[in-house]
Amino acid sequence: MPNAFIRLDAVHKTYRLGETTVPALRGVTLDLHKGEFTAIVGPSGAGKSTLLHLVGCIDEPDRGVVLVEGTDVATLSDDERSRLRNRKIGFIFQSFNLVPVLDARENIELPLLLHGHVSTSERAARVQQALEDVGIAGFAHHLPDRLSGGQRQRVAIARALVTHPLLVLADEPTANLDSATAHHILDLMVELNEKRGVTFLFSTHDEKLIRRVGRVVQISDGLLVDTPSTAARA
Amino acid sequence: MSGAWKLAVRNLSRNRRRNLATGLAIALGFAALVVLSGYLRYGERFLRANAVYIQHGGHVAVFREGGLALAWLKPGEYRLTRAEQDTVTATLAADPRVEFSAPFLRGMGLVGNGCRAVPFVGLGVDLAQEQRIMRHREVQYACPDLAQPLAGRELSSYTTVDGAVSLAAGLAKLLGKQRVHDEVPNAVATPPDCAAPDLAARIAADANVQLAAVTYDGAFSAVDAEMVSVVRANSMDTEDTLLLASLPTLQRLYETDGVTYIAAFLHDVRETHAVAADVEARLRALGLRVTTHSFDDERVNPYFVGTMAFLDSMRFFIDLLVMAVVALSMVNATTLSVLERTRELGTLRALGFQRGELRNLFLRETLILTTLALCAGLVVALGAIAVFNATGILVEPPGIPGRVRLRLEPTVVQSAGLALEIALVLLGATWVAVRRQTRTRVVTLLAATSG
Repeated sequence: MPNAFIRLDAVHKTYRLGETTVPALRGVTLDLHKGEFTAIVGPSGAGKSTLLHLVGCIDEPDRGVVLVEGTDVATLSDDERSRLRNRKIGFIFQSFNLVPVLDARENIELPLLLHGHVSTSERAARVQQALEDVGIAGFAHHLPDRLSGGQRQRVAIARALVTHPLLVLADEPTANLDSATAHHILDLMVELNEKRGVTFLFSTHDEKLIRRVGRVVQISDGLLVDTPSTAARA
Repeated sequence: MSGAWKLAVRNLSRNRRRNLATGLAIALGFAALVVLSGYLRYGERFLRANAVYIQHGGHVAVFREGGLALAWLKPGEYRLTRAEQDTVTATLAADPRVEFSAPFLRGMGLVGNGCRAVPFVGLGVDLAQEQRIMRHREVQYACPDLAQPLAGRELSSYTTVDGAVSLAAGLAKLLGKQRVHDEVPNAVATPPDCAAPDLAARIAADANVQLAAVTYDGAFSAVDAEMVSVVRANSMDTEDTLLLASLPTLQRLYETDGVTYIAAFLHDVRETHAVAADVEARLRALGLRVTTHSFDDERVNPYFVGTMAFLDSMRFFIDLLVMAVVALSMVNATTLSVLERTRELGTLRALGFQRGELRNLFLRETLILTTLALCAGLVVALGAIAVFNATGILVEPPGIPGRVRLRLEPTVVQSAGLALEIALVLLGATWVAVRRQTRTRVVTLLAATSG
């Protein structure tokens, strides 16, 4: 498919649990396009997280190819994959994964520290913008344990956005939040997608959230039920 | 402060009790090593001052070739003649690295009190240079007590007393001589009645002794001498035999104008081997068949060399022990820290941190903790050393009669070297502890329940 900046082609991934091997993905092919807001849905163990890990270049397929802007990720060294993640992919985790000893501002600044070409003043400006984008500018100097779950996830979203990535991956970003907060977070992500053109790929099994997403990719037993060509588009 | 250093500082504040314990282990280990290095440095300085000055060996001694071993057996054959002495002295005087030089004559014989004679091992010294040696700053710093006579004044003070000699305390006791020249200045020496009931008191009443020896030509010779001081022997071995005399007195006894060796005393001990080699080469070029021997030559000073080897091995094992303890403390603390932060490491990796950057993060933490601990350790060490030196503890060095005031004197260079050694060991320990975890797959790190 043209214009796909991330492509998974016949990707297989198997995990070994003791003597048993568990197939997580069994020949998944998927294209992701700029500006999309895509949800991967499926029951637990369907392969959602594995798919996100492969797209995020933090895991490697057993077979098949993962292409990011035309580059086969398997041909990159570990350090090159790290740089690729830092420059082009933002991560939002289910458990927020904030560094507890850094305040909100410092957590958001963390991935920018690896951008040697970004000056201190530009870094500060970007962090401030990210804080304002997610609506927690007033909590910039709060440590994570002084923030609510929703606020922590906003910090995590700001951290994912601050590097201006091509794609933001969110692995069940609302799973640890109450229903109202979950919807606020989703509102925020949708707003960022629509107004700022941020590309999102997130996994969830929450039916209420799925209704608000432009594109839904169903996964079950390691196979896509709705292929990219048949998936609904926004 | 850059972000990475800030993160390192913040991480150190996570588990303060553990980091405090680790820092304490480093600080105390470093303090112990600094104190030990101060003790060993003083020990080396004391031993060197004893070997070079108190034992009159100089930093470099010039012997006739073979004289070091054979001058005792054939003193006439292995002496330095008057002309050779002049050449050696002039050569040494021309070398700016040499502070001064002095001739010495070794010899053996009998010393008697009129009724009893015992063997002595004598050393003839130039009185002017003897004063310079015993009042040298190194002697006054490292072992002033050993340079002070137990009775009487320094031998060099008695330039007008004919046949002035100093006896080691044990030798004086064997002869029953209890009074030195200054205590009985006008005593007239008369041959005692060896059968008299008050013989001991009569012998003790004056400072007169007689020296007897075989001259270099094989004849019998004797001279009258006056015990002007009682001194500490420079080793336990010579406590009952050591006799110091003016060079002319011993030369008269052996009927020679020769000397056994000429010792060179240097400005800087580090020049010893270079001076030894240069002087020997120059003298040989002038036609003299001489050899030079440095004070740290085992054949010259086996006590110095043996003791230093023992101290160095002790230093090595204590260093090893302390390093092992602090390194294990660091490995333990870092391993726990890494395990507690496993998922955080996964997060950082997902955000784009490379393996090396994660390792550097932990290395920064170690560097900060180590620097703080080393500073604390230095303060502890300097405090302990100040208290110790102020107490003025006296010790009896093994193998040397008398007591010396023990000091601890670490140097800046040694302490900095120890600090660097510890820092490198700890950075290495951290690298080992962190390496495995940073090589773990990112998804595995993220799946961890801790951190």
